[in-house]
Amino acid sequence: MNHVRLDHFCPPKEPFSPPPRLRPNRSAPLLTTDEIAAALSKCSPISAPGPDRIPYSTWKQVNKINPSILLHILAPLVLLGYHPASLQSSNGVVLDKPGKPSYESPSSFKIIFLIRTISRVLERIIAARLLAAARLRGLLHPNQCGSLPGLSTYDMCLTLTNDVRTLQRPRLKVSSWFLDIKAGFDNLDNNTLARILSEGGVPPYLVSWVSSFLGERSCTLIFLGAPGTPAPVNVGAPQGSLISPLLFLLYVAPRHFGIPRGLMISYVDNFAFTVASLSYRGNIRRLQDLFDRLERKVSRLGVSFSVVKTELIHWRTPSQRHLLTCIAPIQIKGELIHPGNSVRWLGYW
Amino acid sequence: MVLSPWRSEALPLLLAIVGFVPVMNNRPLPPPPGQGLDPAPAFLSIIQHNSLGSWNVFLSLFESFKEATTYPSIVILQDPPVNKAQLPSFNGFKSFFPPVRKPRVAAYVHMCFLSKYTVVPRFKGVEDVLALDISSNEPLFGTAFDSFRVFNAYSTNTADHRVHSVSPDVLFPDLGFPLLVLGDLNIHNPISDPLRHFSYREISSSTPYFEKAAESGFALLNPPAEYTRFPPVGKARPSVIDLAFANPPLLPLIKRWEASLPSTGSDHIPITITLAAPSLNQKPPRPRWADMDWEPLDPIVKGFKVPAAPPCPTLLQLDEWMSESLNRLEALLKEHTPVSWPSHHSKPWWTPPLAILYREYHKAARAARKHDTPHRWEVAGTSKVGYFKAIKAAEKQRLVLLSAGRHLPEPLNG
Repeated sequence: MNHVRLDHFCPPKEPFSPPPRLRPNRSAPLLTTDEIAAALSKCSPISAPGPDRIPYSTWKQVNKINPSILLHILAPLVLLGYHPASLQSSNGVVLDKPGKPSYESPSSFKIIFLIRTISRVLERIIAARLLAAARLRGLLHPNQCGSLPGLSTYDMCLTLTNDVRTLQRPRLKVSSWFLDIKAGFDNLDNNTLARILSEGGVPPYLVSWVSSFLGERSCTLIFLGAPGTPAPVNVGAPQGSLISPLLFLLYVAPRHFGIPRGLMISYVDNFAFTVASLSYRGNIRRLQDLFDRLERKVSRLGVSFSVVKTELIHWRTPSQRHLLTCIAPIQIKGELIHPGNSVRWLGYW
Repeated sequence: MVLSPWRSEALPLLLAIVGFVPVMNNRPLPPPPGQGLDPAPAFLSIIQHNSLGSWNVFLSLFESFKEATTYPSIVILQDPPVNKAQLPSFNGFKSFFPPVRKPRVAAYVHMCFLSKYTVVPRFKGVEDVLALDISSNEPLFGTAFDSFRVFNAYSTNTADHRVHSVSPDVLFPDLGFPLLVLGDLNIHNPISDPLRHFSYREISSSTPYFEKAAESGFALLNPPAEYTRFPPVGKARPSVIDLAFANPPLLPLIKRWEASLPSTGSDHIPITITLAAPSLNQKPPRPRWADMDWEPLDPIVKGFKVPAAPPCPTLLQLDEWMSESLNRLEALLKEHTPVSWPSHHSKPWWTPPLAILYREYHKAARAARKHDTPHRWEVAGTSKVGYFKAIKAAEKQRLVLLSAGRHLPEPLNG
């Protein structure tokens, strides 16, 4: 009754605020047909299309016949730094993670977002520009890898083995600890990333585009018996998107640090610490300290490490094979991780 | 006498107060869509609601059908308004309720539906259970069944807290034909509401129902944690107590469960359950992009003009411009692309084991291509032989059955 009377005598007024208008960013380089052609040339014709079901081969043909079509559609989006709502819909294919003992938990499945192909062309263009801007401004750590041209998992493993051998040369004991960020892409915070990019000097149109790209998306899950209705998704970066790994690299890049007599390398959300000292026990103490330091840093980003995927190994040279290795475990979140005889990282044993 | 709009709305209530059982509306509802002239309906919409014994709730519910895009064929009510052992009537609907002094369940069936189908109410001699047997001379919804049953129950606590008024055995019988169980069962269970904290008593009283339902193969249609009752006052929590179950023969026909109707004033929300012929659940046509004929499309694409983007647009304007431009372009491309329609008539011999063999064959072939080892190729070859042999066996079996004159039901899924 009180509300009714108040509303009658003091009717609430809608605050008048005109909708914000997007202004073309003069500093944004104009999109060219060459950029579109280059982006399309890298797209696989057999890649699964999104909700529009139009494959890349069709866009390639359209661009070949009339290059101005895609240019006129995509150029305003680059200039205004905006990813429109019509490109934000996706199909989420639910795939089971291989080798799980049980498939009763949602964590035994992964979702691959199939985004509209034209959206992926735009993502590829923006990713190329963002990568160039990030490299120019030193936003990526030299020990980061993944989704970066010219750096593959093989390079990462080669770096690791080379550094382990280098550290072993002065008769030091070397240990490595492999960590994995839990649901990294899902926990990527839009505002934090926008702040990192802005503070790093990335052009405002790219920051604005990334913010709108990570904004309100919608996803229709596809699995047997799925209702087929789109649901809003407001968190994280979509897995399956071309630009998501790069965004994640930029997100965690400030959390990398140098290690004296050691190495910290990462491949997207897979981290590896390698340390060397006179004993394996000393290595474990150092690794524990490094983990605490990194945990503090990444917790500010709202992400944490997965205990299940953590692995520890003490490296030995052929001449050290006869020596007993250290079996002391390392502690992470109250759980003990014992060293293994072999380790699998980025698909390599 | 001409009544003012206020009076015309208030009249049914006044008549109810003075003891009349009014006819609620003079204007009948049009027939439900999908049932105009088609003897076999394309889909069937069933509403489930607890009307709290209120005339206002009853009226609000039936009036809301006029605003909705679809109107129901059957309305299932728990706790309907009753006056002197009579229920209110609503033009266009026929009511069914147990022959007791104060029925606690009722069903309203649209007259158009009644004109095409035989509806037989079944009473268990109690006030809180009602079954409707719906049958036809022809198979319903393109299936092999010519009848199905809708069960309406209002199960409440008895003096013994562990026992409800309607037992699980009554609710979930083993039937060989489609059965839809709807009701306000007043039970709380983690299966229907995984987010709720449960007491021991709630778990122990609800478990027999869900166990019996699972034993008989019933599937819960309610989405988990989608509340169906919102207590207006007090500290009571929202809950999922208006439940809907379907037995295995009915499951392929269930199209959707939704709570999209407006509030009626009851603390329960009206629920709409839609059944549809499996053929309607078919996938849309698949464009065959590889077969596109670009020659006639070439001049059209060359002449295609993208409308200019607004110079300083709002987000909404830019979204609209993008949608319009993309839709025009995509429509043009799709218009010139041949499509293939998935049809269950194309492979009538197809069986579920064949689908498994198909998947295994392609999985083995992919692994062989990737790893390129003799063992993998051998496995792929064996899978291929097994898959094609199974196809031949299935085709042969169908031919044998056809030649023997046996009636073969159409596969349910396309």
